[in-house]
Formats: sequence, C-alpha cells, structure tokens
Amino acid sequence: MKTLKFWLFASLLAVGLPVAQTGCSNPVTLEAGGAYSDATLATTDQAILDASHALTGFVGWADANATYLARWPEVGALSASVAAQKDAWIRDAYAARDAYAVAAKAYRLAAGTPAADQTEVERKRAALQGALAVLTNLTTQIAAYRAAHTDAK
Amino acid sequence: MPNNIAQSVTDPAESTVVFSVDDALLIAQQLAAAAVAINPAMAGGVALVTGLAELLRTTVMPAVQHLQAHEISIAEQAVLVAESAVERARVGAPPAPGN
Repeated sequence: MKTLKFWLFASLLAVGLPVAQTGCSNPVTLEAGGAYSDATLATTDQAILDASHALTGFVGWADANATYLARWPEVGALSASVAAQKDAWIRDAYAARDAYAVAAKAYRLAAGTPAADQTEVERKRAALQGALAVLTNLTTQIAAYRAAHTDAK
Repeated sequence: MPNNIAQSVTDPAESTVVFSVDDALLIAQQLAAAAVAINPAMAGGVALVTGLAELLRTTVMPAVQHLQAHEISIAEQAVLVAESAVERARVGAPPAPGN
C-alpha cells in the first residue's frame, strides 16, 4: 500500500504542482559553497535521477508480476518499451540539461554585452522542458498502472 | 489518467498517510521543482486537462509549502553530483559541462 501511495503522490505532484507554482521562481535554493551554482541544474539532476529510478523500478515491478499482469498487455508493452529505451531517454535528458547549462553559463559571462543571447538560453530551456516532460509523462503513466493494479506486489 | 487515482487521493485518510511517505515527497518534489524552474507557465494546462485542479488545493498544497522552504545543502549537492556522475557513466552520457 505504501508503494501505491508513493506513486499516487508522485503522479499528482509531477503533473499538478507546477500549476500551483505558476508565476513563482524556482522554490529550490542552494546552500552557498556547494557543487552547484544554478538551482535549476540541481533540481534537474535530481529529477533525472529520480525518473531513472522510477523507470527501473517499474520494469522490475512489471517483471516480478508478469503472470498477474498478463491480463493487461498494455502494462507489459510499456514495461518493454521502458526497458528498451530508458537509458536513451536519460541520455537525452542529460544532453538537454547540458545544452541549457552551457547556454546559461555563456549568457551569464556575456551579461551586459551585445554577445549576451537570452534567446538561446530560452531555446535550450524549452528543449530541457521537453526532455523532462517525457520523463514526467512516463512517471505519470507508470503511476497510473501501478495504482490500477494494487493486487500486484 | 485513470479515475481511480483521483478517487484514492481525495480520500482524506489516504491523503494524510500519503504525506507521511518521505520518499514519495522526494521524487515528486524534484520532478515538480524541475518543471517549475524550467518553465513555470507551461505545465498549468496539464493539471486542468487531467482534472486535478481541485486536488491541488486540497491535497498538494501542503507539499507546496514544503517546497517553498527547500534548500539543498552542501552535503546534498555533493551527493547529487556524485550520483549524477555515476548515472551518466551508466547510461553512456558525457560528464556534466558545469553545475
């Protein structure tokens, strides 16, 4: 039951929390002197790690309950897709994260000069949003399946 | 999204227990915070489409309060960098160009 609640809550927050935060700045801050200077990158890294763990956990759960879940082939199909593509999705997310990091750093270094290109930062930010949306959508779908099959262990 | 998710979480008893699950908060908080940090304006329509707006008010807002006060400590940052490096190596991604 704890697992079910975990996924229900993860799903709700992943999908729904941003609407409550619309217009607010990043609620996560960094203690000064740490490894990160950009809270967006820290939260992105954590999100990627969490998504990776979620995807891996789902594949394990689906495998462990393969007999029970055979009646719902869509679950097995998603599990097979996740197993085959999850590392590529994580790589894509890291690539988008890194492109944003490079653009943001270049913008900060050039701030106040004609070379400062905020458009490029925004473009990379949108790409990063897209990459994370893939992971968030997957997490939400996984949560839905796990919530729908509470008899599985 | 199946309706049973919304039905389960709107149960007050369920909601109370959900917020006591620290690991749930961890994963959800990071996913959500990242989405907000990157583009606060984009994700709003998702919740409306899936019918979760009311659940936000009744169930998720306590977690929002938690998020607003969240600070990543130096030690947590060190762990995050290390774990990310391991994950990057595992999936074949290059080292981070900067943090």
